[in-house]
Amino acid sequence: MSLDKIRNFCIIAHIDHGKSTLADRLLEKTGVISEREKEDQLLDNMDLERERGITIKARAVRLVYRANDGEEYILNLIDTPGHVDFNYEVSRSLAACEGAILVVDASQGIEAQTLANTYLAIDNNLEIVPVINKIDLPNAQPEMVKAEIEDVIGIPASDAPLISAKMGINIEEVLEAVVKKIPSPRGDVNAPTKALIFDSYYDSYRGVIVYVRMMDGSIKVGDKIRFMANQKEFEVVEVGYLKPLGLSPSGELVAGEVGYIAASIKSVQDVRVGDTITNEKNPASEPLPGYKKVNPMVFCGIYPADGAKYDDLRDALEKLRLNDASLSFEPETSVALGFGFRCGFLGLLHMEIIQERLEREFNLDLVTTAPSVVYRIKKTNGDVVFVDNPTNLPPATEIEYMEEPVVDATILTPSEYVGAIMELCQERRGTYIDMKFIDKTRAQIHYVLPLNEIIYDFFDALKSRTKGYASFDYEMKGYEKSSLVKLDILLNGEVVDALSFIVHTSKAQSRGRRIAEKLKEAIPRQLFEIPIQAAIGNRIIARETVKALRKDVLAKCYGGDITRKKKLLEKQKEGKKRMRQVGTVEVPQEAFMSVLKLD
Amino acid sequence: MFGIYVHIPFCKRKCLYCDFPSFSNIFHLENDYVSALIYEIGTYDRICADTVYFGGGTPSSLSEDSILRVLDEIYKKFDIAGNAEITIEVNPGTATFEKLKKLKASGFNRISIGAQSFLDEELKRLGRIHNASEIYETVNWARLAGFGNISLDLMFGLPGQKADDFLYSLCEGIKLDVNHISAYSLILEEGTPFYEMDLDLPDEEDERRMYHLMAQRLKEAGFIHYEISNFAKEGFMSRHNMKYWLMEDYIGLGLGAHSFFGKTRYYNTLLLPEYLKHEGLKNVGEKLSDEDFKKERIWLGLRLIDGVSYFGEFPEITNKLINQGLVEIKEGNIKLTDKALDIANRVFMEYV
Repeated sequence: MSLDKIRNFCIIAHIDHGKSTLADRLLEKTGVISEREKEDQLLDNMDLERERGITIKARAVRLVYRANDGEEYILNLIDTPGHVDFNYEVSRSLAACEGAILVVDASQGIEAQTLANTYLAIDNNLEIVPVINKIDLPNAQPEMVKAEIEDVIGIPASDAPLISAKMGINIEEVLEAVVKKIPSPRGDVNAPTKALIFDSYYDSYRGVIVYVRMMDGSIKVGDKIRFMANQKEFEVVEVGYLKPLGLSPSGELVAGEVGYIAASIKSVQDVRVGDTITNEKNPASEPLPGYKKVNPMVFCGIYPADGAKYDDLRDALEKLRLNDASLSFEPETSVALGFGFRCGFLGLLHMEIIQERLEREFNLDLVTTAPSVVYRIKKTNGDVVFVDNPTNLPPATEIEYMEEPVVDATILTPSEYVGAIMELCQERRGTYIDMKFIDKTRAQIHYVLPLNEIIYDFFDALKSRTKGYASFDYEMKGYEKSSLVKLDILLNGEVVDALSFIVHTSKAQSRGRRIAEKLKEAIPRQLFEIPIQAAIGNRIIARETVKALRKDVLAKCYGGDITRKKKLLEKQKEGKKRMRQVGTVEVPQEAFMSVLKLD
Repeated sequence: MFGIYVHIPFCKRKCLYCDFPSFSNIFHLENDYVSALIYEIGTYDRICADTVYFGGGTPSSLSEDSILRVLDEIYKKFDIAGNAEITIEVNPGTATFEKLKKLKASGFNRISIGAQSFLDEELKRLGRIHNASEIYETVNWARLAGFGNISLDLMFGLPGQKADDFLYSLCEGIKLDVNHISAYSLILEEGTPFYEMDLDLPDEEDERRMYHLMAQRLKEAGFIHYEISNFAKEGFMSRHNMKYWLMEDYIGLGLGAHSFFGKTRYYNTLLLPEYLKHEGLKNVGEKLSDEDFKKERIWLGLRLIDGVSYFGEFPEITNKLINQGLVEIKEGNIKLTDKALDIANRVFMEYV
C-alpha cells in the first residue's frame, strides 16, 4: 500500500454535535459494519461514554473506501477525547493525523470546546475539513454557520458538506472530502523507526496493546523496540491494524500507517501517550516532539464507606490504572475516614469518571473528600513545597507565601449572557482579559481564573446562569501568588481532617458558614448537642448546632409486631453503621459529600 | 404456659391512623371467619394457656354469639388455667350493657376499652366511631356487668393536640378509676390515610412533654409505670402482653396473627380469602438462634420499666450503654435509665 492511498484523520466536535454518530456513518458507508451489529456508537465503548455522550479514551479504526476516482483508500479514523481534562491526549491524537474533520452543529454553531480543539489541530498543522451537521433540524442555519467558521476560525467553509449524520444524508461527501483535501502521510520506510504512541489499553492475554502512528521506519513481529522516554525495551509479539470489530494482525507496520503493537508489556505505566517507539537495531537519535509527562491537576481523598473494603478499593484502583496511566493514587490515612487513597486526576471530569467507575464497575460505596488543586508554598526557610492535601499544609507561621494554579479560560456565549458570565467570573476571583464578538449574537470571553474556583461547581453555575447555552474551556496557565487560608471544620470541638480545605481569604467566611449550614442538615440528631464550627487557625468564623435527639422510641410493640419492629431497628442500625465515627460524633457519608455542593 | 391471641379483623369503620389487618365492609363474612377460626384452633395440639386475648380490629363489633363460639372452642380444645386472664378489646361505639354482661358471663374477665381521647373534636379527627360520652357509658356498663379489670387506651401526639388537651383526657381516664391505662404516641404508618395527610403534629419537644407529664400524673394517681406505654394499678399489669415482652410462648389465631413457640415465630396469611379457605396458616417466619433469642430477650425485656433479668450477656454492648448512661443493672435486672426512655430505640438497636 503506497502512502498516497492512506489518510489519517480525526473528528473534532463539541459534545452532542454528532461526532460519534458521524463516525458510525463512516463505518457503515465503508461497509465494515453491515446494517449494524447495532449497538449505537461503536467507538464509544464504555457505558459511561455512551451515557455521557463523551469520548474518554482515544480509539482508532481502519476503514477501506473506494473513492469516486475508482481508487481504494485506507482511512484511519482516530477518535479523540473531547474534554479539556484530556487536552494532552487530544494533542497527541492530533499529532498522529494529517487532517481533521470539524463537525459543527448547524443549529448551534461553534462552541468553546470546538474552538480549542480546532486551534490545537491547526497548531499541529492539520488540514481542517469543515462539515455542517444536523441540517435536518428545523432551526438549522448552515449558511450562517459556514460564515461563522470562516470568520472565527479563518478557514474556508463555502464547500463544506452539509450533512445529517443521524439521517445518513451526504455522508459520501465527507469521505470524498477526506480523500481529496487531507494530505497523505509522509514518512521514510528506510529511516530509523519512529512511532508515536497515541493510546493504549490493557488486554489480559496480550498485555498492553499500544496504538501507534508510524512516522518513519517499520516495526515487525520479532523486532526489539525501545520506548524512548523511559528507555524500556520489549520484543514485538504482534502488530496489526485496528479493524472495526477487532485487532487484525498484519506482521508489519510501516511509515504512514496506523496500527497496534503487542509486546508482552505488563503495565500501561510503561506506555506513555506521546512517547516515541524506536527500533533497537537502528534507533532514532531524537524522539518525536511534544512528549510530556502529564501531571494530575486535581486531587481528592477516596475512602471505602465500609472500612473493610479497603483492599477492594486498592484492587479496583489498580485495575483502573491498568488502562489509565494518568490516574495516580497513594495510600493516605484520615482520622475521620480511616484508610483510603489520595488520588490525582487530570481534571474534574476525570475525577468524576473514576469515582463513578469505582462505584459502578466495582460495586464500591465511596466517601470522597473535597477536591483540591496543588498549591505551591514558599516556606520561610526558603523551601518550596507542593501541597495537594489541606491536612499537609505547613503551619501558618512557616509559610512565607502561597501560590495557586490559574487557568486561561475561554467562554463562548450568546451575547445576552455576557453580564451574567462576567458576574460569575468576578465572583470566582477571575481576572478579565478580553472579550470579542464572534458575530452579532455571540461573544467570546477570556478570563484568567484560579483553578480552585472552578473545580467545585463552576460548570453547574455557568450552565444555570446561561440556560446551558454557554460553553467553557480552559488550559493551565501557571501559578500566581494568592492570599489563601486553611479552613477547618470542628465537630464537637474536634477538627475533622477530611473536611478541611484551602480557600481564598475573601471566601473563607461565606464558605465556612455554608458548610456549617450544610453539615447541620446532614448530621442527624444524636444523644448530645453537637456544635459545628468553621475555623481559621484558632478563630471561629461560623457556628451551627445540631440539637440533641429528643425522641426515638417505638410506642408499641406486641406479638405481631416484633419481627417488623426488629427489621425497623435493623435498618436503623444499618444506617448508623454506615456513619463515620468522628471523635464522639457519628457523621453520615452524605455529610462529607454535601460540602462539595454548596450552591 | 401459653398465651392465646385471637385476631378479629372486623371494624365498623377503619380509623385514619390504623395499619392493622382489619376491614370495615366484611360483616357478611362473620360466620365464615368464625368457622375459619374454629378450624384453625383444631390444627393445634392441646396446650395449656393462662391468658386469652381477643384483639383487633374491633372484637366487640362481632355478635356475642360469634365471640362465644370462638371462646367456647378455645375452652374445649385447650387447657385454660382457672385463674386465666381473658381479655376482650371493646370499642365504645359498639358496646351495649347487654353485650358486656354476656361477655362477662361467658368468661371474659378483663376489658380493654379503646377510648383514645375524651375530646370529641380529637376523636373525630382520628376517625373514631364514638364520642366521649360513650366512653363514660361503656366504663360504667363494664363495671356494672361485673368486670373488675378495666383498661383504657389513650393516644397522644395527635394532630392539633396541645399538652393541656391530652392532660384533660388523661385526667378523665384517671377519674374513671380504671385499673390499667395504655397510652401510645401516634405513629404515622405507611399506607394509612394519616401518612398521606398534611397533619399539624406537635413537635418532638411537646410530644415528649406530654409523655413525661402523663407518667408523672399517673404515678401520682397510684399507677405503676411498668412498660414504655403501659401503666397499671398494683396487680393489674396485662399478663397477656407481658408474654410478648418476656419471650414466653403464645399462639396467634386469625388473619395475620403471629405465634411464637419453640424459639420460632410463625405467621398467618394477611389475605382474607386465603384465610377463609384455611390456607396460609402457621408459616414459619423466623427461627431464632440461641444468639437471636438472647438478644431479643434483652431488647424486648427492656421495654419493661423494671427491665429483665440479666446474666452478663453481650458485655461489650451493655458496658457501652452503661457508659453512655442509657442502661443500668439493678437487682439483677438490666433496665433503661430514665433518660433512655425517650430514645429507647438507640438501646434496642444495639441488641438486634
